[in-house]
Amino acid sequence: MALEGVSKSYGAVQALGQTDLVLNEGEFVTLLGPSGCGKTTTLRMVGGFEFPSTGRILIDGRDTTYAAPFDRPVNTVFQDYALFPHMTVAQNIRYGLTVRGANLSPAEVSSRVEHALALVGLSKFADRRPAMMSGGQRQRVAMARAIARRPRVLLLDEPLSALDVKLREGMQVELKRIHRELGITFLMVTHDQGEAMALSDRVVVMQAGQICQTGKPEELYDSPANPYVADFIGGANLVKGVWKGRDRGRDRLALGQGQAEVQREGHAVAGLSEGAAVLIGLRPDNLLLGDGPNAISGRVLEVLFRGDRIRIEFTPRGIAAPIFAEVPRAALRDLQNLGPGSPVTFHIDAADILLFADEVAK
Amino acid sequence: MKAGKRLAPFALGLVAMAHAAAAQDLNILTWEGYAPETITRPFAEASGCNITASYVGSNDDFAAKLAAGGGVYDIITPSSDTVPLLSQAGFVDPIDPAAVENYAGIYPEFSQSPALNLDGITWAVPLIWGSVSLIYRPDMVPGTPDSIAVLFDPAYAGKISMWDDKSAIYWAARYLGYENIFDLTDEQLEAVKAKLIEQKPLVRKYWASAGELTELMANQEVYVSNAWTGLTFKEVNGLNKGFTVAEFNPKEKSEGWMDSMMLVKGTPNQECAMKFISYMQSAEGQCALAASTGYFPVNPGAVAACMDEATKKERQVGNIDFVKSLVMWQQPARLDKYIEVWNAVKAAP
Amino acid sequence: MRGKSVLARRSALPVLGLFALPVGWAFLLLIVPYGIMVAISFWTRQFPLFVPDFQFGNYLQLFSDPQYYTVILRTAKIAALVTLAATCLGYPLAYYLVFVIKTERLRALLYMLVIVPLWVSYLLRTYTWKTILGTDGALNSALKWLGVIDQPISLFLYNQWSMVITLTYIFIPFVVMPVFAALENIPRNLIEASEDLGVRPFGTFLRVILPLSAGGVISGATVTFCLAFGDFVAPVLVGGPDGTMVANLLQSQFGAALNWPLGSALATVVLLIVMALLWLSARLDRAGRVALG
Repeated sequence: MALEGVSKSYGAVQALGQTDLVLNEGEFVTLLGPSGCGKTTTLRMVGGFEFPSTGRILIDGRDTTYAAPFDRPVNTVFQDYALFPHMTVAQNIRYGLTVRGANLSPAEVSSRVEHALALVGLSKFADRRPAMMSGGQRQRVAMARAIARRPRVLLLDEPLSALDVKLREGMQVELKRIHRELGITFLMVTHDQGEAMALSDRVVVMQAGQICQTGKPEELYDSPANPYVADFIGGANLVKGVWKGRDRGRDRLALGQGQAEVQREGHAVAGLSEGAAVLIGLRPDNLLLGDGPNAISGRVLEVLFRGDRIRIEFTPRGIAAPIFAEVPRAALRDLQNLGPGSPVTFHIDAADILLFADEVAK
Repeated sequence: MKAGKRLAPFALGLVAMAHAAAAQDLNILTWEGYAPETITRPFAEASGCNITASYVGSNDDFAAKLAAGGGVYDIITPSSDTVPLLSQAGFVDPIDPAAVENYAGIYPEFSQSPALNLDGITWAVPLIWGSVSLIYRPDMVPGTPDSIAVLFDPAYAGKISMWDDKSAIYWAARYLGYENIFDLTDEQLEAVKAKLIEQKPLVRKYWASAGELTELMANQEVYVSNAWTGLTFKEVNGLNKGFTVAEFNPKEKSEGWMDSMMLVKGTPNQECAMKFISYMQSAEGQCALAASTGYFPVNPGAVAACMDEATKKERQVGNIDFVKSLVMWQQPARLDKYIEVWNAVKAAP
Repeated sequence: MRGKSVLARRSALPVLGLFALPVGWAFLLLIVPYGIMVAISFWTRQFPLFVPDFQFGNYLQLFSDPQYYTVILRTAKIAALVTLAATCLGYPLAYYLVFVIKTERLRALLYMLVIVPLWVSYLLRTYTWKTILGTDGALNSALKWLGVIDQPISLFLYNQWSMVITLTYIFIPFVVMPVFAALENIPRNLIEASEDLGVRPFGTFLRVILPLSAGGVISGATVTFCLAFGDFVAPVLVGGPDGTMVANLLQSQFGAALNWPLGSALATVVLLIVMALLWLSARLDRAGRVALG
């Protein structure tokens, strides 16, 4: 499946800028971004509920840009499941199998319904009505209904957002399993980066109608293309700084007004000249307690207990914005009385420092 | 000075209120047009009684309203065919003719009619009268019709109307040649019913009020109907629709009706009520009512001075032969049966 | 246990006070009159009035004399035709307002236009049809002007069709309102889901929209049938000699015939018919709602 130069505007408002995207057979791709970033619009255009203002949508090489929803080899799992309340679970699943285009024998229909129910583990609930089921069960029915049609691409619109946290994690495992068993292409939309990272083969990070970065979850985490992606994927403290030069694969960076200086190891960032303003990304997980190379000292603002991890908010010397760090609880064992006002020092591995040109400062 | 001026209207209002409180009220249940200001105002000045009028749509409303126990009416004015029912039902008090001024001037044919006097007791005093004849469109009905047969003529299918009332039975009975139209036998009633049902496909609409008939005629919905004599054809012709409507008395006779005043049982305003009954026999009362309704006065003596000769002729004043040429309405001997037959006709497909 | 009952009593008193007025009102002005009506239906007509009694003659008369059951059946027929016509016209109208009109303001405006006639006197609206359908009326004039006819057609007015047309016009808003509400309550994503599952718009209408708006149709049709069944104005204004309906018969029994016992018996029968219908409608509606969850 491919989007070629697709864009969508509502009057003067552009919901999606020129976008190209190719999905490979059997791939699980997620569109990730905050609300209003254009991810849902994209999904709806693939589903046929909206038509692009420009560009083409190809499914299996066929141009389906303006095809009606009932005329494309895709099916959608809707955010609120959109189950037909006047039908039983089995009737819901059978609904899409008895249409003229499906050309299925009654026996085939029954076997598909049974198979779909078995796949989502709801065989016993065939005669229930949706109203009598829990959120998680309805979610599975919605899945079963969509996959029973054997679509070329399964579209999932925030499929887990209506579930509570505990259920959501269980369903993530289920989704992954179903994807593996079916082997068809999944295109999911979510605003939950954790969900996106856990499930996807590839994640497309979107912002304000544009794709910021596309890549495997690890790539996005390790080398975010910009501060936005860095913050959205995994979270990052973004500290203003100055680029002081680079030699032997290492950048010299001054944080804030230059009270702290760090060495960064990694690919060179294009277009930097000495004294250029930069944004330095420090992931909370990568900040290690104690002195070492690339040390940053400051005073603790707040200590937040997070179970096995402790989140420490501190003000580094010479830097206006506070920085968050997340450390394992074990690392704090020696610092029992760490509290607001305590002096504290963190250090970070040179390879873990993220560096971006400061577009705004330019 | 200023304060005095400002107070003046207020004081006047008080005086008016005091006057109103002193005056008695008189509630009349009557026909529309029967209590115009030309009657109520002079009567209030002469008697100190203020008239409040309520209106009925048909003679059947009188008994229905009194049976429902409204209890607020002092005088009712039903037609003579309904008078006996009201006294039989015990809704009214007898009236002493001696207490009615000018009573002797009323046509005795009316005042002494058996419908109004039962076992030597007078239950009602005549008020006004008129007749029901036939009207037709001369441009649509060839020749000069002279018979009720025109109401049953298939040539005018869909262009015939009749009053929505049990009196349809009287017309059909006369058409069938029955003399005893108020006391038909079961066989005769069956024949009348069959005739009226046979007539139904010819009927465009049974009219419920004079206004509706005027409309039916003016809008060319119908060409023939029975109608209040002197009223409908004048109203339709007055609209200048490009055609005229004529009136005639069929050889089977037209019908006559007469409205009478009755005293509601136990009225607290008997004094005012009697004053009103007397007033309506005076020149002022009779002429004002005749002028307001277009119907005929019952007291020829009273109108002698207040009506010109042409009007007198038109309103049949002193023309007792005309009264005799009519079939005056009577209460059918078996009222229930008549109403049932009429309802059966209307219910028929 | 004891404490609980004291509490219950304490809270029951003000609640009772709160509902005393409406309950008392309903009892005095609804239940009591119905009781009186049913009681009088067993009385006997005795010229010129009627006397208390307990006998079933009035009911017997209603079911043996064709003039009564003919009219009841005719009324049911006309009410059914009106219900059918009002539903067939009102449903597409509501559908159009909900699904075809795109802007909220236009929808609100058109909805108001459908509802606004309810503020105009019912009598006046019925009367208007007389001037449209009459021999000299607007319809005949238009047809003549268009050259379709050269003589006015009298078939438009003063028959059962003109009653059905008039009553249909009057009761369409009563269908549009509940159907509009029902259609608006259907989540849009159900329609998208249906199309997503390969079902074309017409199939989606039959299998999703229609069943999910059945409740609105049932309540609209019920109200329309009951109101049309009890109508007495249309027969008088636009009905012909064959247009007598139950309400006119009732009017005649309580007026001209002064036969309250027979009238009460007839009214009781009408009440039972309407109640049976409401019961059926409530059952259908409940069955539908259970299905919808």
